[in-house]
Amino acid sequence: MPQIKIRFAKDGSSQIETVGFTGSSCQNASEFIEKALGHSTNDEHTAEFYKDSDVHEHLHIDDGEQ
Amino acid sequence: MSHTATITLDVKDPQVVRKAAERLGYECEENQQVTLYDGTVARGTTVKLPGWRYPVIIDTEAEWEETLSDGTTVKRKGKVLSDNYNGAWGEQSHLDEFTQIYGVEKAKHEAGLSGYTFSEEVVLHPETGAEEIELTINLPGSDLGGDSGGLNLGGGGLTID
Repeated sequence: MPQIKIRFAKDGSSQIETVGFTGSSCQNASEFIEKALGHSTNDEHTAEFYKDSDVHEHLHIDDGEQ
Repeated sequence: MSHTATITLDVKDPQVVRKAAERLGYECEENQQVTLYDGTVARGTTVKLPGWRYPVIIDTEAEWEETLSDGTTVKRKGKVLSDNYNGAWGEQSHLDEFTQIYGVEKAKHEAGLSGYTFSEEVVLHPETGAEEIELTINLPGSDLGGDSGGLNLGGGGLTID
């Protein structure tokens, strides 16, 4: 069940996680919401990226320093 | 499989600006002109935050470029102009909360436009314990009855187009 989870903190920062995708489809699936919200930087894969090919997490963190 | 990124919110949708202001109970007026303390004349949608001397002005049409720390340049749209004199004329937390709610409402708006269902709930940050708002968007193939609570009629966060 593919989902996009977005966490919005009270300081205005945000965190996005995509779950239930295969391959690189998680990046394509979340593109529409990323563009609508603003812009993304520091896009990088975590360790889980290489461990589990069945679950994709797409995490966005805004530390307010932009 | 995971990857991380940073997203900076651009407050650029006037319809959602109004929606966020309404949700928080803040007065919102479009096509306004405000002269700030330093003489800056700003035009756009104004939002009156509680306890703030000057309204926040949101120019949703402003397009500009930002140079990031790595030297790359990104195009941005929407500018938020405010003057709270380092907190003396208004608490920054109110503006931060407005930005938070704008993001929530913008994400819900876009999910609805794409025909996706979604739910909203308050969650705690796993490390700090701070309250956050989590929006879950269910894409085609989702199991709406699953443990994720994707079908949440009580929260008023579900739309089906």
